Amino acid sequence: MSEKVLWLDNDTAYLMPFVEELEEQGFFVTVVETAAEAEEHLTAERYDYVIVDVMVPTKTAAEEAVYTREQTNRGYRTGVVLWRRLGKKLLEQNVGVLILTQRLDQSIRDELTKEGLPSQNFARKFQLSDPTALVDRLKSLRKSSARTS
Amino acid sequence: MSKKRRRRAPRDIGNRGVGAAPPAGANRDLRDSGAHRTIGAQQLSPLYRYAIILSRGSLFGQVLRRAGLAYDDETAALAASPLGMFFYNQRFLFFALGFLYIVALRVAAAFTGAPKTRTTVGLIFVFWLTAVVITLLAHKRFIRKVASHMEQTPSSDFPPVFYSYVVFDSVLVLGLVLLASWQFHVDLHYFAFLLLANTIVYCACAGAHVSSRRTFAAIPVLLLIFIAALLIVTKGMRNDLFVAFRDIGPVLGMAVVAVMAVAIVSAVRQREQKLMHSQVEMLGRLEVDLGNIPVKPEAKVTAKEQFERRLRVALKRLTTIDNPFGYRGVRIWFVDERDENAAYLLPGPFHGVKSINVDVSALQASPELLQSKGIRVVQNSRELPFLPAPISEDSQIAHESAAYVPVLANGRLAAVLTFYGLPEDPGTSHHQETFLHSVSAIIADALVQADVRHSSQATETIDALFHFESLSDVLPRAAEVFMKSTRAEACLIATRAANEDTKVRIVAASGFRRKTRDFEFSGDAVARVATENKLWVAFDDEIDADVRLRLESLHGRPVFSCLGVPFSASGPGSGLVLLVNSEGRAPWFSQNDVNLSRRLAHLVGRLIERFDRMESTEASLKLAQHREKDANEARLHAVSLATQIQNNLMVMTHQLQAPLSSMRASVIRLRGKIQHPDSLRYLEHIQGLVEDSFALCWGTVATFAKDAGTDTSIDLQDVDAMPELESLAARMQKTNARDDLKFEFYAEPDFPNIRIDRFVFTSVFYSLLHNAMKYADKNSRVEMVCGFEAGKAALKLKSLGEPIDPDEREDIFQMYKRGRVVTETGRHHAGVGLGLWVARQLLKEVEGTIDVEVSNRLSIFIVRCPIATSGGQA
Repeated sequence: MSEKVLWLDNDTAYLMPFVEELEEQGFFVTVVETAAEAEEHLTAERYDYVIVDVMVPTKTAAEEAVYTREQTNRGYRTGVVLWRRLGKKLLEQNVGVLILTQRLDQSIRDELTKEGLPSQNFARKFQLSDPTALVDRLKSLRKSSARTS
Repeated sequence: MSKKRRRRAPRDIGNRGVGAAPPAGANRDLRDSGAHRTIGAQQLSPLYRYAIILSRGSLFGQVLRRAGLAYDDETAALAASPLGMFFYNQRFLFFALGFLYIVALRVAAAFTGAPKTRTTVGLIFVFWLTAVVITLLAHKRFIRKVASHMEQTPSSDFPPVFYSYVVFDSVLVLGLVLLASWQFHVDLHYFAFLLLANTIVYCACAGAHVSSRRTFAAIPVLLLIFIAALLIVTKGMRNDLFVAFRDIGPVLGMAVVAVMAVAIVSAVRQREQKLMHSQVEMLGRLEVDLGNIPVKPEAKVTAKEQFERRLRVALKRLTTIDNPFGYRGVRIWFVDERDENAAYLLPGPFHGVKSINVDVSALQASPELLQSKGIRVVQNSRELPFLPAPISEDSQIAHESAAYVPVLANGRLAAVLTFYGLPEDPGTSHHQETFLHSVSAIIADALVQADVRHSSQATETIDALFHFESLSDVLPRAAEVFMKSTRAEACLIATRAANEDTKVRIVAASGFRRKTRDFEFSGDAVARVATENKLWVAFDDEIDADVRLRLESLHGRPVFSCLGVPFSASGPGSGLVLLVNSEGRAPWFSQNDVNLSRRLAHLVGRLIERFDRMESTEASLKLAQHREKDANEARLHAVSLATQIQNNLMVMTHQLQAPLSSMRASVIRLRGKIQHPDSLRYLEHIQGLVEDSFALCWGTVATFAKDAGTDTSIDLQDVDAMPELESLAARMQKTNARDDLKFEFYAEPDFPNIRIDRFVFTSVFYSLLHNAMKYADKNSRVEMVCGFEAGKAALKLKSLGEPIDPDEREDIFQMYKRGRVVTETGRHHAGVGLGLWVARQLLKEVEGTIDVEVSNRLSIFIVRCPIATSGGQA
């Protein structure tokens, strides 16, 4: 049975080379564009890997009711809120979590580190140049989380 | 003697004796120093000297002091009354000489065989002693009375404290004579003459108190006592009453004449002294009344009006009925010079005789009047020179004495005082003459002062206008000042638009009945005042008919005289002040008006100039403020635009990273799937271009974000610099099509890894290599050296090419700054001047630096950064 990857990112078009590589490597990849959708998927079924871009904006008013503007810094940081709502549970379930930040998100990185997310779970979004390297990175995450648990 | 008044021809007192010193200054000199000179020059007679000694201080006190006795007879209060002191000392002398007389009498008695000599001397001595003792006993009371009198009447008047001594002395002498005759049968009837002496002393005292009739009534009583005493004591010697009366007759006649003479001389002297005293007092008051008149600028009453009010009060005081001066009426006539050829007397304030010449308007002054500088006193007011006979409701005035007193100020006739209604013959009193001169001098001084004050008041009022804020407020006020301080009925201020303009336009006016706003004078006498910068004074026919018509149409009244005064503001003849005068008591402008108007017009010029400057300054200020505001707005706009551009650039470069990242990943995947060498070469080239773009974007967005205050993350890693540089250079050679350049790499032995963020490293050296590829000479060599400097890794990039100006070594690291070779020659124009700035900012983040050294066409960029702690080696 292939391992399942849930990828939260609003720039889905640019994910193509990475998604294809993952699928070629036998992963089943589900790409969602909003944190609400991601939460729905994660509640409904179990994923082996979750890739979360922290800077994903809200799209609907219904979503804003859950991911409030105050929590999400005017609707931008829904990825951060998602992590806060489900992160601990996912780590407990030995789900490989990769949080994608950008160069400008140093403060988010600092906050999440303080909240208990290990530094190996972070990656710079545009640093992912080689899709093969991403696959290796994901696999190493599960191995390290298995060691930790 | 007949009381019939004798008519005399008017006489010029001023041409006689002391009075012949007409100028005001001379009058004052006469009054102040002449009198003193006269007294000082006189040789004092021994009698007068004796009188001065006796009236100056207490002889008794002096004698006691000389004798070394510290006794004060307390007569200091009496020193204020010379006559009182004289009588006090006389009594002392009488006692002293009396004592010597008794001593001499005693000596004579020793050598004579006459009967009862001892008794006689003893009697006289007893009475002398009685007088001395009682005088000494009464001294305290006497001093108290003197002090009380002086306190109540602080003057040099003779104090009424000697009457009791007269009575006491009379009683004593009478007692001596009677006692000696009846009791001791000693003949002392000649002592009765002491009674006469006492009576004469009393008369002198009584004469000094002219106001008291009772004191005079006592004189006959004292004379009767004297006669009775003589009759009684001589009765024994002359049994025949007839003989007694025969002998008494001449003595009585002598006594009456002596007594009357002393009483009258004393009374006359006292009256003269009082008269002089009150006249001096009156002059003092006159000086006070007319001097020190406080003047406030902008006061409703002008200094001249104030002076005339004070003068009216002063003249009233001079001619009060019970005054010692005697005249009942007075009028002052002011001399007013219309021009060099015509002078007038203008009636001024009057008092005393009801409505003297009240309907008289200006009188033309004859040359003789103007030259007449002496006081004249006439027996009849109709005989006053140069002036018409007084018209008055008081018919008596025409038959009474009058005086003509010229008032000379600065050697010119400024006014004439005429006094009326002296009921008695004025005589030739020197006092009267001096008094009139003094009055004239005081009024002359006051007139000069009033003119000065009047002028100061007007100029100060104009000066105060300098504090106003608007010229439109100031000029109408200035016109009012002209009207108030001169004889003008109306005043206008007109200005020229430009120096070439022959027109003047009214900018302010006062007193005109019609509207004057924007009224113009062109080419006429009024306009010429400004255009020719020339004073214009015209009276009646001298005014051009058309100008007169225009002025009368504005004024709504006939115009008799005009005074046009030019002023200069921005240049000579900028405008004029025109004053007009209508019919009236003196419908012309005096020389004082002309002089004052010139001063005031000068100030008006300064006023206009000041406000012009203020307006110009304000306009400049507004323009400058406007420009500053524009500049500020432009600057803010530029800053906002720059910020916007920067933000836009940041967003664009940030957003470009996503597709570039995706593109790079796609190319990498593709390179794994394709085997064909050409395709692989192309893919490699595409990947190089993507990497270049990525480096360009990443450096820009990271630096701008930092510049905007966003905290960016730095991932410090150990980087082996040399292979990274080689790889980067090789890639960029391809992407920048600079195959001609030869890259050489050199690393010092044991050169370690450096501690740097990989993205920073790539971005910094991408900028430096990109620069080298842009500016390096064709087929030149680019050297890259890895060495050490001051404990830091120093990576140097050397190239030959477009020179960098040594002065621009720092400038080229600033945002949007490019070297002169780019901005001035237009070569290598690609780029916006961000690369080196981005490199320096990024290196700061990793505690590194970047500098450049230049030498002609050689440029060496030196990048210093920390060495890796892990000890890794290249």
